[in-house]
Amino acid sequence: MEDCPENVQGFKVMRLKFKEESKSYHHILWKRHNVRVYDELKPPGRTLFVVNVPPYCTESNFKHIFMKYGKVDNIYFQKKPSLDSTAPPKHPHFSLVNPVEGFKVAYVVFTKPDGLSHAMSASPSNDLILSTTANPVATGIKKWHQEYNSLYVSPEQLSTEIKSVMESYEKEKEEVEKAAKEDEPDEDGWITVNSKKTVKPKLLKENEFKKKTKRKKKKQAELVKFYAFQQRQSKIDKLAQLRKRFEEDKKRINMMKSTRKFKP
Amino acid sequence: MKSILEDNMLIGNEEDGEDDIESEGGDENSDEDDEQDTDGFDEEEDDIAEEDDEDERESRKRKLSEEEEMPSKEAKLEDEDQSLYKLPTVDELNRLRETQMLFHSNLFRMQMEELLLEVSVKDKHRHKLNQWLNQFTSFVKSLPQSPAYQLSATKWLKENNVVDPLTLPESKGSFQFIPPTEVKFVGGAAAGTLLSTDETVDVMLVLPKEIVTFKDFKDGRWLAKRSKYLSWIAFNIQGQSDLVAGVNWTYHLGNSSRPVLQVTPASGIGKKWKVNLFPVPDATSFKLSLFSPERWTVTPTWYFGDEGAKEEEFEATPHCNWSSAIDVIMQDHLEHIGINICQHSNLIQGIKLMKVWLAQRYFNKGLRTMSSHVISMLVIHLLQVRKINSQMSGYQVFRTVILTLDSVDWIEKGMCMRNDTGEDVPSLERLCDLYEVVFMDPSGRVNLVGNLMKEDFLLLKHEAQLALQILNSSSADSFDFLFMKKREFYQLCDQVLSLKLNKKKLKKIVKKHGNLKQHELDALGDLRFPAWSAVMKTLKRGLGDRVMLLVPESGAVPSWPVGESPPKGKSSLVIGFVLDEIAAKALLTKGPAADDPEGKNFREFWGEKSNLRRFQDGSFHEAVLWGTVNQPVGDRRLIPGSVAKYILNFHYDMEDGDVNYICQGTESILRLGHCRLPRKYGTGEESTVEAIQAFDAISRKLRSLDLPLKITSVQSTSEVGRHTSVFPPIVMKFLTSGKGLEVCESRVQFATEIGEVPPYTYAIEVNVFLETSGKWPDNLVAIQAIKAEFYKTMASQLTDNGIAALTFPKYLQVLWNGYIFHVKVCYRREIYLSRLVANDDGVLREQDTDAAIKLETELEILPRITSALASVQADHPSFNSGVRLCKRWVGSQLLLPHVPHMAVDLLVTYLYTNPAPYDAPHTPHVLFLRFLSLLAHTDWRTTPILVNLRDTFTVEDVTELNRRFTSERSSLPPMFIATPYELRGSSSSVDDTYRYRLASMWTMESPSLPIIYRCKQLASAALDYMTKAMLKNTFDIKLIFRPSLDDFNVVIKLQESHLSRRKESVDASVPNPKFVKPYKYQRKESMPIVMFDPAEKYLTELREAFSHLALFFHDEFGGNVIGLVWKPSALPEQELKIGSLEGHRIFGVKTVKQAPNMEAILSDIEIMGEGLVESVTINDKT
Repeated sequence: MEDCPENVQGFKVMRLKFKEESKSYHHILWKRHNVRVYDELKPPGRTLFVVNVPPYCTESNFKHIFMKYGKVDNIYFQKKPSLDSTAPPKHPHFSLVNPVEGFKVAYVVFTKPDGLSHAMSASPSNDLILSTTANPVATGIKKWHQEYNSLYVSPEQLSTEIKSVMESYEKEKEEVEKAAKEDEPDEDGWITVNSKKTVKPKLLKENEFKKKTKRKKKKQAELVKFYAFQQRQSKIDKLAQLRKRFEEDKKRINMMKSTRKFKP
Repeated sequence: MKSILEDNMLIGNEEDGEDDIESEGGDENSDEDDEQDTDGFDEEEDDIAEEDDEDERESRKRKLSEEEEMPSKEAKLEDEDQSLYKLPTVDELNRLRETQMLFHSNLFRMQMEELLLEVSVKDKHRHKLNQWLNQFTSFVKSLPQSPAYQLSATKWLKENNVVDPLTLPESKGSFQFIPPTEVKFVGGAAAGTLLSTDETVDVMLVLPKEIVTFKDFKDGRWLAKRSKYLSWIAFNIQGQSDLVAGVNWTYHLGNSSRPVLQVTPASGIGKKWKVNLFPVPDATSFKLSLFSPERWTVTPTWYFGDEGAKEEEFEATPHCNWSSAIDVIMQDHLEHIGINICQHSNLIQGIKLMKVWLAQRYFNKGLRTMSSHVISMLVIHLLQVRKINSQMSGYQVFRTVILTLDSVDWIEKGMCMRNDTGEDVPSLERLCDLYEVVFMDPSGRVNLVGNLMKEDFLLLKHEAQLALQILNSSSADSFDFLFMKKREFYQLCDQVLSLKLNKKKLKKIVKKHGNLKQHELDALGDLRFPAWSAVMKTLKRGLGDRVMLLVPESGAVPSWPVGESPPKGKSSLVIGFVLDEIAAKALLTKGPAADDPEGKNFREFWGEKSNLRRFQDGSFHEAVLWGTVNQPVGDRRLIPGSVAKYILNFHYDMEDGDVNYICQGTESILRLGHCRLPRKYGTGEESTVEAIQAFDAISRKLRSLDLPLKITSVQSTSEVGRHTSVFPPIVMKFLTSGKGLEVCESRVQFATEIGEVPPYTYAIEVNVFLETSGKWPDNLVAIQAIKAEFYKTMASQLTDNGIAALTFPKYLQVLWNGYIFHVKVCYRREIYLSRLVANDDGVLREQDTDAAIKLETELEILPRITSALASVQADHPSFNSGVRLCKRWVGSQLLLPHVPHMAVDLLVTYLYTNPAPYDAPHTPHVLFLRFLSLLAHTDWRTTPILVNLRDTFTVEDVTELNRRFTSERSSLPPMFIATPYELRGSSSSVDDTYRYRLASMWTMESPSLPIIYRCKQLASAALDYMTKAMLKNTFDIKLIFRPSLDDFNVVIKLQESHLSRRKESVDASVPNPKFVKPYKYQRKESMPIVMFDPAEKYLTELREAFSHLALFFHDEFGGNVIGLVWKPSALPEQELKIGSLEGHRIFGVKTVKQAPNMEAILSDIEIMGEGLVESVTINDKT
């Protein structure tokens, strides 16, 4: 393979092999995670941003690879880099977020800033090995068997998860109610002003919305064809519409013509 | 159409200054307005305009002044719109009015004008043709006279190396060539109805009086003479390379007693048309009455030699007379057409349209053709009886002719152009005995359709009826169906029967039905037509109402070089059946009652097969039984074939080898060869029905459960519920133990040890809707938790009832009577909640999110489509097998990953809802052919497919969808398939595109253009093979169900032992069919492995990882390969983009670039499919 640079656009280029004996490798690139928006899950001083992570990488294997640079706190996989919070879902079985598949990016959060600097000064000549005998990566049939088996959740586990979902929902609801209450004047007519914005965006009630649009429509309906000029206008409009359709038909004919559709 | 009418009214009103009805309900004008609305005639309108003119002038003035004062809207409009608002011109209004009065629709009119422009002969060509004729005339006229020969002399023919195509017994008389007195065009070229698509031009040579004697009417002497005359011209013209490029013999209308000389003109004109030469006698040579149909003109002693039968035994020779009479009457007809048609361009247009219509249905070529001459004569007849007038537009002429063809009966009653029935002319009743189809010319002596068989005319009538239906429908494609689409024989007929016949058989058949010699005499030896028509008659009697139409294939007219003897006419007959779907499958052919004298006839016809049977009402009838009650539909569909085979064998001793019944071959793909089921599987219809019945039972069971919220409805969204699952679930014993399997908490799961994969088990999806409640949470995750709570309750109650049920976080899995169901609780507000998206200022707005659309599809759209397709199935029993056959094919060509299942379902449904130009298909076989043709011939760029399920599209929807299709073509899916059910109801948002945004949602992501192109190629190759090879013994349907792997860059072979659906494969080879163990219910049964297909998992992973670089192809029905094609755009090296590095390697020092990391990807492919992949082969044929 041709020479490849060690560094490119601030990224460090490393080679990742699947197994020790694999001949081919993927280039994975990493750099310090450095964005303006602070995210407590990915603290800038301790987070490594990795791109071109192959599809079969799992969190545990990845952790293993980076262990040699320092203790790893967390690993977040994402399809594309984004600012959104990427906390793993609290309730994995009820989550509506699809798991990340295919090539992805990873945020590796080290426990200490040391880990990050070690990673940045790693030697590119040392290939990284993903699947070791101690830590094999399950792929293919094995993986799918495991997946199938894990589809089922035991009733007890399910119950606890349902419970916890409902609890957190109740809590959230209470908070919203509380916040709503704060906006209302208390007995003395005072409103407590919070610096924080309302936690939950307001829901525009469906029927309210409908009412509004209906009112608008009514207004329009009343004025239709009231004056003579409006009547004239509507007729002209209709003629115009007719012509428009005519033009459109013509266009269609031309399109058909261009595909020699009239050759029987 | 209607809106145009109204619009026109409005324009008319404007002149009057009348006001709209709605705003001035009590106005005195309103009555008149109403009147106009109903009949819409413009004259009336104008009258009113005049009356009201005076009164309204004032107000009009006022309006005009108002308009000046007000800053008019027109002025404000953009420039581009300006043209739409200019004042209408008289021409424009006239055109609009004409369109509305005389045509189907605006688009139709424009399409028709384009078509006529396309098919009309260009002046340039016409000029060249005339030039050629002049050249030819001067050549023929300059030919020297020949010496007088005996008519039977053949020496001069041999000397000049020409073979006389007509072989008749020797007859008296002499032959001499004298140049024709006149040479001119006849037929299309003379009437001006010649089309550029026509293949031949007819030229008439008028023979001088001297060489035709009055006695030539006898014993086919005229026929011999004309053939000799042509032979003489043939060898003289052969060497004239500046005049002709080729000289051939052919038969006029396929009639072997009427050979014609077909010359290919030299110069470019020969590429367009060939010229047929017709020698005709001088007008004074014969009296037409000599050839009157009821006379006999051939003496048996001459034809059969001395041993010929006595003359008294012979009746008229109508067909023989007809052969000569055509020549005699030709000049008359030419004159007739010249007078009546030539000046009227609109009549000519109408005839041209008719010709295109006939040509698209292949009525214009082959052995028994409906020539355009007949149409011209019919138009003249309609002119005479005032059904057509010369003011009608071409479209109206066309319509009237179609209408006439639909209503006339030329078989029983006949039709005659001569209105005074003189005594010297045979009566129509007599003529109907003599000919099968009767339409007499103005002389009353020549049958214009004497060459047709009864069935040909019935087919024509059927086509006319379909055409009328198309004309009356408002569908935008009606034009295409009428004039653009070819009606192919094989796509018309539900089943096809091919008979091998030879001369001996023909004789035998004719003999069985009457006087062989009489027929031989009449047909001058060519027994094909009498034999064929006898076979048709027998078949029709045997099949009865099982068939709506028996369609004999018209067969090609041979054409051969002048130096060779005529090829042996193909006597084989191919007959297509258009079935009556219900009657075709009847097990019994019921005959007359036991004591009925007709019974003898019936027994004679059916032979030993006929038995006396007692019926449920206690009566005894003769009847023939063809099957047993519990035979699957797939077998019963083949009954017409058994009936036909039996009759042909019984009456004509036709062996199995002589009769080829085509239908079961195609459908055999759907049969399961590898396992024997306790019940006959047939082609699988019954299994689908059983699965649906199981669904009904489980939904009753679910309703009976005691839940906190009552169940309001249970709906099915599964493929099997809409009858389109290729392999419907079959109840059999589940695999619960074995290598690699273990039971854990009453559920089978995989053990750590890996064994062979258990056979695929399908789950049927069930949607459960609950009564509304305000207690549902607002949070989507919380809703899932509540649903899970419901699943738990359901599961525990079902288990108490002894039904195995397992709760999964997102669905409930139920095992009932051997079927697996996935039950999902649905909550409609969830759609709304997932539509909400917070924008920057923290307010939630409704938006079409992927999740919301997915939910909307599952909850709203799919159930409705499912029930609509079930009703299609109820109307068309062949739908089930048909869709499955088509889908099996798409799958076998590895295309199903790219062509969504629903797209196939809807395309097939489209073939049922819009079958034009055919009837709706009645067998899977014919449907499959039409499906292939749809894929092969549709121009997806210009054709939207609107599947009008249950006729629920409104006129506005259709117009709007078409409009959108034209104006937003590039942003819509390449294959546009819309149904009424994905159009939304009134919206809560103001957005006006809301209603149509999901149109064609099924094909939104795929297929892409390259895939569509591949479909097209594969389909046309398959169709080609089918039509060519279907009749051959070597035909093997599996050939087109095996994919070609040549086009893939990489072929990944999978291990059979891990393909859970391997039994579905086309080539599933199991030497001894395994007997499937029947399912038996037991308490506490454990849940088997459900919906587990490693190949599918693998494919999904591959597509997720590499879809930006490559396309993957796989047959989900047990296919053991995955094909990979690199995307051409992804291969070359590119600038480095860190954001889209996925799977690329980087290289270069100064300028860093990226390219797909092939080596690593190929090894990834092996890694990801570990255990499943057998081999990865790179196809480096580049």
